Amino acid sequence: MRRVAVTLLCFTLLALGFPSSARAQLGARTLPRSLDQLSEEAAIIVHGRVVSARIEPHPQLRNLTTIVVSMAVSDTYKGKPQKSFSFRQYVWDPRHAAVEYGKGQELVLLMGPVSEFGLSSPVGLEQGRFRVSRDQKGQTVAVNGRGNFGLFKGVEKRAQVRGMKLSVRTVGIVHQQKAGPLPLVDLENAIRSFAGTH
Amino acid sequence: MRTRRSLPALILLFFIAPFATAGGPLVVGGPAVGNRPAFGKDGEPFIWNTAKMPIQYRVDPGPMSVTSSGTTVIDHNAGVERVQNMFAVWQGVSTATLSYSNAGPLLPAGSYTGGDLKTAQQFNDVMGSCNAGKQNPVIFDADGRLLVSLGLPPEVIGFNSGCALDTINGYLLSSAIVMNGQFQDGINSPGSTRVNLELTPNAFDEAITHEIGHFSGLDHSQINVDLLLQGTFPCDTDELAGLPLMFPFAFCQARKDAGLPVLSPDDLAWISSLYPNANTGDSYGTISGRIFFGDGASQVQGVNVIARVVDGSGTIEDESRRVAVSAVSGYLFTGNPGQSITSSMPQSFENNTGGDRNGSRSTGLIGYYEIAVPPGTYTVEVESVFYAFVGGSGVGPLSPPIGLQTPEFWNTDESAFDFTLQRSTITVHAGDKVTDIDIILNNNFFHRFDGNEDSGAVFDAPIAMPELFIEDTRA
Repeated sequence: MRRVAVTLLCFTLLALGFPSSARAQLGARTLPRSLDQLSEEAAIIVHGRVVSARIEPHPQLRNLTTIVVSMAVSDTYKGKPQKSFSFRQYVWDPRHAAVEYGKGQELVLLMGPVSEFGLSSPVGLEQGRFRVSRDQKGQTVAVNGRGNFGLFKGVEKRAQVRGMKLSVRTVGIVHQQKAGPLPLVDLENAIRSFAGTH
Repeated sequence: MRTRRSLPALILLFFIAPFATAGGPLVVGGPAVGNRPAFGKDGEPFIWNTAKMPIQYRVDPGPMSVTSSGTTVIDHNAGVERVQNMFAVWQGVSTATLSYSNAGPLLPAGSYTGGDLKTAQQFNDVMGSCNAGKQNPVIFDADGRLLVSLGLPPEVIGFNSGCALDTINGYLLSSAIVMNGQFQDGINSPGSTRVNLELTPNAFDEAITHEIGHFSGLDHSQINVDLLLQGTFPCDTDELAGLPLMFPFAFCQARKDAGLPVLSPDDLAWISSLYPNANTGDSYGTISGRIFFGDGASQVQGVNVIARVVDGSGTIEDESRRVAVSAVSGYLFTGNPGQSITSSMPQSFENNTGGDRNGSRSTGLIGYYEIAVPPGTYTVEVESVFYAFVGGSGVGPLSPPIGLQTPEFWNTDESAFDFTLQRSTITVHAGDKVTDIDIILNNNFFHRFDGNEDSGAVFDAPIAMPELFIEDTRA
C-alpha cells in the first residue's frame, strides 16, 4: 500500500509539475543529400512494415528518449538479408517520432551504423526514411521526409566519375529530377544500383 | 513489484505527452480533461515569460569546431560570438519583446563537471539538468563525434530539444541547442568512409538560427512551397525573400548570401505575435477568419492559409512572393481531441482516451486562423500543407497533413462553387483587426452546401478573368 501511495503521489506531483518536463522540438536541420550518397552511407537498407514502436528512455542514458522500432522485413536492399529488423533511435520529439514510425506503416529505411550506445537513425534523418503507399492509380510509391526533393541531384555526374552504369530507367528518373512520390520499384532499382547490390 | 514497474511508465506518459504544433506557435495550451490538469492556458501559445527576460542560455566551454585530428578551427570565443549573433537575429526584431543573454559556461551536472562537453554520458547528464529547468545549454559538438555516439547521421547540422514547461502558467522553461561543428571544419569529404560535410558560415548560422526559432517557441511555416517543385538552384530571390527561415528544411542558398535579411516577413510576424511589444500595434494589423468545408458550416483544420501582399506595379520585385505571412487553420486547436477506440492499447502510455493535452478543445477554433501582417493590401489563399511534411518536418497540428484538391483564394462572394482563383483584396492598416475572412472550400462534395453561407454568387457563372481584383473596403 505504501508503494502504491508513493507511486500515486509521484504521479500527482509530476502531473501538476512545476516545472514539468517535456520535449517541444521538431526535426533537426539537415544537409540535403542525394540517393546515391544516402545509399552508400547506409549500413543497411530494408523494406518492410513497422510491427511495433515504443517510446522509452535509453537504458543507460536515462535522460534521453528513444524510440525502439521493430519491423517485419519484406526485402533487404543492402546488408545481410533478414526477416525482422529492430533499432533504437534517439528522439528529442517523441510525438513526431511516433508519427514517423506508426504501427503498420510500410517503410523503406536507409539506416546508418549503430553507435556504441546501441543507437542508430536513418541516414540524412528524414531523407533516409521513405513512406510507402499506393497512389490513385494503385501504383506503389515511396516518398521521403523531403518529398523526394533533390533526391537525384548530381547523381548522374557522380555515377560517371565512378564508372557506374545506371539502368536506362534509372537514368530516366534522374533526368526528371522532380520532387514527388517515386514508384517503389524505381526506388529499389536505383538503391540497388547505388549500393552495388544488384 | 507491479507498482514499481508502472511508475516509470506513468512518468514516461507525462514526459512524452506530445505537442500540438502549428504554423506559428510550437506549443499551445489545452484544457483539463478528465483527471488530467490543464496544460498551460487553453488555446494560448506557450512562450518564455516576458517578465523574466532575458532568457539566459549557457554555452559549452569547448571550441565550436575542430578537425578530426584535433586542430581547432573555431575556438570557444569565436564560437560564442557566433552564437550571440544568432540569438541577436531574433532579439533584433524591433516589434518583439524578446531578449537573450549568455549566462556563462554550462552548469556541471552528474558526469559533466565542466570543460568541453564531449561524451554521450555528459550530454545525457546536462540534458537531465535541462529537463529539470536548471539551464538552457548550447552545446558545441566540435567534431561531430557526440552526434555519432547518439546514432545521428553526419547530415545533422544541429537540433533544438525543448526541455521543460511551466504547465500551470503556460511558459517555456528550458531548452537546449546542439550544433555540429564538423560543418565548419573546412573539410568537405562527402564520399569518404567517415562522411564530413561543409556549409558556408551563413548557411550554418541560419540553420542554427532556425533552431533558435524553435527554442523561442516557433513552429515550422510554409510559404512559397512551389520552390520545391521548381527544383532550381540558386532559388529565385523573390521566392527566397518570402521563404520563412522556419520552413521545415533548408534547400536554397543562405538568405544572407542572397543579400536578404535572415528573417522573412513570416518569421518577423510570428515572433512579434508571440512576444508583442509597444511597437507591434504600430507595425502590424491582423487578418483572421475560419476555413470551412463545402457545407459552409463545418470547419477545416490543418490547411495552410497565406496572406500575400498585392504585387506593386512600380517595382521589378514581385512583392506577392516576398511579403507573405501564413498560419495553419486550427493551429490553436488540438490535433488529437482523443477517442477511446485506440485507448485499449497494450501499454499504458498508449491510452488515447483524453487525446493530446496540447491545444484547445474550443470548437470555434477548429478552422480558425489569425495572421499578423504589416500594413498593406493583401490577398488571402489556402493550400495544402506539403504532403511530405510529416513528423519532424511537420507544419500544423495534423500529421500527416490533409490534402486540398485545389488551392483557393478568398473573395467577397465565398461559396463552395466560386471560382477558386477569384480573389478580393484586403487593405490592412497598423492596428487593424480584419475579421471574418472566411473561406469555403470548393470540391468538398461530401459536405452539403448550406445556401445560408453564400452571398448569392453561387448562382453566378464563373468569371472569365481569374485575375480580377475586387477591393474590399471593410478594413
